[in-house]
Amino acid sequence: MADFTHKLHQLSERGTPVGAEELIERIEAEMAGDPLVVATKRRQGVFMTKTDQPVTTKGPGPGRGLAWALAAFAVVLAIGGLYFAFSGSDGQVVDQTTVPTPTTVLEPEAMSDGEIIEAGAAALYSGDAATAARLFDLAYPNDEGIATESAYQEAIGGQVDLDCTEPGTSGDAFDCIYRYGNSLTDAIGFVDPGETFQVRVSDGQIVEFAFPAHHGPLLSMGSFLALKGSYDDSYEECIGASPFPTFCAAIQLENVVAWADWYQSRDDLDAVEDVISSWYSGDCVTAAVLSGDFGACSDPTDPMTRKLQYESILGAQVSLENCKTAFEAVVRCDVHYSNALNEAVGKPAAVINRTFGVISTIGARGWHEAEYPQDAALNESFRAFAEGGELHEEYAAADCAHSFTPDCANLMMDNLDDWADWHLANA
Amino acid sequence: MPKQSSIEDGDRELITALYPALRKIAAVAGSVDIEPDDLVQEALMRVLRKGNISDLDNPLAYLRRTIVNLASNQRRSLGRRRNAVARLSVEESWSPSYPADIEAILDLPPKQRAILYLVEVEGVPYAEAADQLGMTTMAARAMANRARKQARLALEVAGG
Repeated sequence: MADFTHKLHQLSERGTPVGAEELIERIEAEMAGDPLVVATKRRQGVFMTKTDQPVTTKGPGPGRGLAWALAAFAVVLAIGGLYFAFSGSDGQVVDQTTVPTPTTVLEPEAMSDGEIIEAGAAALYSGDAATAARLFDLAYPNDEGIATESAYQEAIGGQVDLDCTEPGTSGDAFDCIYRYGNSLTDAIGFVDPGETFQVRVSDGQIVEFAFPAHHGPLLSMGSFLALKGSYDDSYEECIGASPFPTFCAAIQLENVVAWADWYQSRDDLDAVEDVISSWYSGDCVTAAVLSGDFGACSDPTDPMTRKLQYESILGAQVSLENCKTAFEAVVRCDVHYSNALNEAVGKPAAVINRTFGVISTIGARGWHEAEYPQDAALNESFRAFAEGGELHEEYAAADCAHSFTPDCANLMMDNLDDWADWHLANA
Repeated sequence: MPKQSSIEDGDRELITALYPALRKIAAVAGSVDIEPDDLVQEALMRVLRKGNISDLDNPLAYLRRTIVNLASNQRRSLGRRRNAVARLSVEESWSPSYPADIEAILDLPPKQRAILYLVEVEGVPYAEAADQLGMTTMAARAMANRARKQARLALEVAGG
């Protein structure tokens, strides 16, 4: 069995299944309060067998490192007008036309499926929400969502090139190569290599369609806003999945010129320095955005927030030295770390050589989840002091052994002098 | 509020029968901050909003495709069910027990993970896997090849 196959098998077993019975209970509970279900049941007729609508996201997964960087930067630049090219089932392009200006006078019953795709996409990306709503019938988003997405795309200058191959004899879906761009990608000169998704038309309406988005620039704009001190939690709605609210376009357009300059001047070392300096200066919002922990600052129980509080209470001092780009998107640095414990016993900063997986224009997602900088020797000394004396219950309650919590930091500070005496006598 | 039983017996049996297979694809395709059961629940809810699961021509294929699409969407609504405590426990339970080589697999897009899982682990033929994921057989084969290369490369980088 190939190694990745084994890993996939492991992955398929992850977590603790709730079981079918509990899942059914959950669904029934949700359905009991779900007016949409009730309404649908009342008018239930022929079941719609259209496929669920895949809103395309090219955004990063939860993992870190180079692959995430590549995924986040699968961005595009679409220059010129909106056009579509349809090809026959043999894969040869047979026609390429410029999409006509969207019109509200439509006769879908007289249009080919390809023409419906052209007209629907043209309406969607030109802000003609009414026409788009008429030509799209998706499981998600609904007409309101289509209108929202359409308004956003018009505002941000969204353009999509669709290069579609008509369905062959074995299927009913168009294979369409999407190339998407907007004002953000224009500003930084990214070229979309294109990605293939299926588009399906049924009874004169588009029932499956992908909404391309390039999350690299969207995330990068968030990092830029955070570093200039103007990041607002509402921007989180602008980095998830389509449809995006129109206010996202307003924020992005207002900052696009400055962001593009910043974007093009960044290197990997800048990103590491910004991540570390925001973290240890207690700038929670910036630290959270650059670390990919969106929304953490509003949740005091979030591990990231607790770590920041821990460092703040202990007065952590951190500096980076000998930083080098190991290879693209990977930086190695000597992290010099000290806090009140070091000061109390006169011990110099601990030096931790560690690797950061970075995206220069975004940050270092999840950098603190492994190899977290600390003076391990002093932490171990405090553990021995606490567990061997009267503090063992408080030490356990503060979860000092397993995580970096504010309670743990407070315990250290409250007993700093006693510990320092013990340490100097026993070290 | 008292619960109302809205799931018909036929659908109840189908959910019970399909649950293990649905959960596995959800675990493979979903990101680690989304519970596989949440993805399965969301997919089932989407079907039930429109009718009965038993009305579908191929419920397993339809639901698996929906799950993979949802995983790709990373929809915010999936997170709304989890409170801060649950989220905390998930993150803390994943981080230390999640080796780098699994993270390398997770760096693949959900659809690539799904196609690899179906073909390599479950031994599903390409044509059937393609049907389950809403793509042509040729596209499924190409995606699986691309995913294999990326998975091997990622595992090498991760030291796996």
